[in-house]
Amino acid sequence: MVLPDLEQENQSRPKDSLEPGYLVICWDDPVNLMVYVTHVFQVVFGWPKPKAERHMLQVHRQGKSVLTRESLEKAEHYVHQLQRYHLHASMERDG
Amino acid sequence: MELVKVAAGKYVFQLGKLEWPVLGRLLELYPVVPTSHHRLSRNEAGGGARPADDALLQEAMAEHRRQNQQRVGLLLRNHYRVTPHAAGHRLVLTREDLEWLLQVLNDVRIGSWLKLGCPDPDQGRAFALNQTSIPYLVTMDQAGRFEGALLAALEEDG
Repeated sequence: MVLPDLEQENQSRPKDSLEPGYLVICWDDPVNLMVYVTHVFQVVFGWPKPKAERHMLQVHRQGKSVLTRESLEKAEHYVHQLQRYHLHASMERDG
Repeated sequence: MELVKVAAGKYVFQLGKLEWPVLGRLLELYPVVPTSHHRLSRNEAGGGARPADDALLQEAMAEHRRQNQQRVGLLLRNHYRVTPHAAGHRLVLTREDLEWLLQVLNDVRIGSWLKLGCPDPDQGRAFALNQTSIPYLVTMDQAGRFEGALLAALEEDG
């Protein structure tokens, strides 16, 4: 078994990667079904339907919705999950 | 495609005579979206993500795709889960199956849209109706229809 070189891995990440300074954003597109987007938000974030619908409508009407603010690794995790479903999601540094 | 019942965590669907061949054909098309389509950030500067992070994302997506492809193959060959029925076919899926099937169908839908050049009539990017585009439009529409049926079943099950 090969153990990861944690020291080297930590050094290669930005110092603030553990701070919740990264926004997970979902962008509007003309192809994903609204009911599908709501479902994906419920599954990925464990949100109740009304909250998932609120964010879905924000995406639809305003072009994007900030879904959560997380550390670098958590933000990456959520973007990975959303992209598995082919939602147009990205992470951006806050501020 | 309609939900007949949910029993012991299994979703039993009734498919019309033409629906199973159509669904099977859609699943055979998977994957359609290229892995290079996936990026962590829209920002050219990376938005805090490093180029290596994009590579990791694409690697993860490629692996996920391989797993989904295997599952598609298993479903298409599994005669216990897809059985002929007087009205067409019966399809038995677990809750987990529903989730990856949604991902697979949406890959086919989004991939077809990408092949059409990402049309968006609201932004003035209309699609051309011709012999090349029509199969992609039909594929998008059919994939969306099956997605809708799966989501309706989940809604019905609460």
